[in-house]
Amino acid sequence: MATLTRPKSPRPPVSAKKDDKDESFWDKIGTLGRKKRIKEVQEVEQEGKHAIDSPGNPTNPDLAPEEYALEENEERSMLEPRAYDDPKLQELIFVLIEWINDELADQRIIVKDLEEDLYDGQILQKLLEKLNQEKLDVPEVTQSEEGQKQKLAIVLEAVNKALGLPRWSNTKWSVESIHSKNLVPILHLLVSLVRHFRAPVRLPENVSVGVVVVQKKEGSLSHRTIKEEITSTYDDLGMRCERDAFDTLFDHHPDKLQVVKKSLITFVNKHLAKVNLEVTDLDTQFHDGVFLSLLMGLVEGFFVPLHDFYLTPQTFEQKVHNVAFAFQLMQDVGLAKPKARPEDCSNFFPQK
Amino acid sequence: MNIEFLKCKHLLIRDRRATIQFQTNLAIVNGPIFIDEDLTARINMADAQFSFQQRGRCYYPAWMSPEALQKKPGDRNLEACDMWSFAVLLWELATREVPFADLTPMEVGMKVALEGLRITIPPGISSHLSKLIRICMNEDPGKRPTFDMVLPILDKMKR
Repeated sequence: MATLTRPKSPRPPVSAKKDDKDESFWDKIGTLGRKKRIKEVQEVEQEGKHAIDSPGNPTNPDLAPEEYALEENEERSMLEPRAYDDPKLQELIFVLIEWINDELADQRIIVKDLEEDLYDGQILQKLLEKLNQEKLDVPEVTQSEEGQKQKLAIVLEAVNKALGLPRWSNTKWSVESIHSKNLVPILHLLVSLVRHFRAPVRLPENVSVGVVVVQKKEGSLSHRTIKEEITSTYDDLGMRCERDAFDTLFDHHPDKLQVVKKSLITFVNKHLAKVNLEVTDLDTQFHDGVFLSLLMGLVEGFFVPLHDFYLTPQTFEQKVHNVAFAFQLMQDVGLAKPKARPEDCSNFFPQK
Repeated sequence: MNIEFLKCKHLLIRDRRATIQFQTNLAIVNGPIFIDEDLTARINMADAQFSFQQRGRCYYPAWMSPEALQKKPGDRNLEACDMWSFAVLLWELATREVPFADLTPMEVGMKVALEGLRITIPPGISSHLSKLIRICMNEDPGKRPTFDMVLPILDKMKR
């Protein structure tokens, strides 16, 4: 139900996003957050004023380049120098780079270094467009730092939307942290994308890195080291649920899979034929939830009002809505809650 | 059955079950109804189901107008939809048949909404009644009569 009632808020302007994009999880600690928030409010206000005063010029000249001087109680975190020697981290970086290069091979993009190549949002944009199969409305090439940050903000907003993260959530990445070429948020972001889009790669598990956090306290710098967890333990391809008969089927009798598929298609078509529809391929024709909703009505003896779902879904969100709606119908008529998430069903990649 | 009752609500009766659509968009569906000797219909609220209990499921699309099958309640003229349902009721009274009895609800819904399937008025039915049915289920919701307009027609037909 949660997915169904998820409010479809209009796309917020980039400036309004400033509230959460600047928030790192450090804001949770003590009064730091409050102080920072006041600063953010002032920033947003200034930006608003600026936007009104100079309508012809959309770029905002605030946000000076990061200064190295720390304010009182301000914190900055950086990777421990020797963290790069960790073989697991190296493996993770290698896997991620391979994955990005695989995805973007047809665009002739080759990533060599995560920090140096991803900070400006250009490749993140291409990556998300490829994964989401949806074009982002951002300028192709940006040179200025301001332009890069604006672009990055739009890309990250789209990432958060694709991942289904609520706008108020404390994401582990932000425009500032990625643009400052900080590896940790970049890794978090990529790992989340890999997990969400079920990328066909296997991430090394339980990778954590040492992060040095420097904080200015009463005029002097103090630092401490914390462990930041990048990946945890996952099952194959990120499936987090108990194994069922289908897993056994996939593992032990891949040859029988075609037989099972065939009988499922026969069953589905027996019902869908009544409304002059036919399915030929389960992989490609069920991910948008349309046939699933219609099938529910056919086998349970009800009509599904056409305003409750998208008969011809175009976007990923509409497909997810449809699948979630069909799942709701299944539960309403007394079936068990499906183990798959609607997003998993709608996440259709053309198989190789 | 009281027509005035229909005026503010959407009542659908089938096999002694009633579907009532209030204009507030709250609906009781599938409440068992009982007809007293004085022809008052009573609905057993104890067993009644409300529409929010069966979101996305429409069990009797044959009585619903094409636009009711396709559009959200807020986007359609509820009284015009009710008039369509009323026409199907009149058709039931005239023919003593169940509309599209041979089709499943999903088939009926898809065909009525998208393929232009309509009930047909068989010959041998009073021309007044068949004319009334026809004007009540005008394809254009805006051209269907209101219940205020239907009442005098029914009164005339009684004579």
